[in-house]
Amino acid sequence: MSAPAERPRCRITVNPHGALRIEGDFELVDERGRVYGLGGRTSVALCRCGASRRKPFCDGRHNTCGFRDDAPVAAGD
Amino acid sequence: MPACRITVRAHGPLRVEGDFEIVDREGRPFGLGGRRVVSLCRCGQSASKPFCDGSHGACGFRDEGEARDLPPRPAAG
Repeated sequence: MSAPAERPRCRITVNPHGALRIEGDFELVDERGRVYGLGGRTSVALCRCGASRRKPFCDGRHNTCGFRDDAPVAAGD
Repeated sequence: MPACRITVRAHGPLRVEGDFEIVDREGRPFGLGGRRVVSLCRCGQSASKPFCDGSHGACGFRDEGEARDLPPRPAAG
């Protein structure tokens, strides 16, 4: 393995059966380009089960709504 | 300007663009096949999670996704 290239400045982690964790240098905006105020947070968890009552943010509801995703990682590059 | 922009699409996915990586819990990157923009499922119904496959259009997923401000992060401790 060669030395890794410079890492991307934003990392999105897909948690199994859970949320997306966003960290690094990012902004969250709506379709009109208006920015979500994150109240000083440097990382956020975004819902991917569809059941959160705080969309687009995670409220932990994936634990009770039966959301399952353990899809394997696609072949890396 | 942040390195990565994540757009919350109304009643649809998250559109991710810029300088980012998508990894699993072990830090292994998803190969994006040269794509510089991806859409991530937030309705919970995609057959190709974590990516969007358009299922939100048929499953009745609703979230306007209008930007708002989160309350300040609670003080540590």
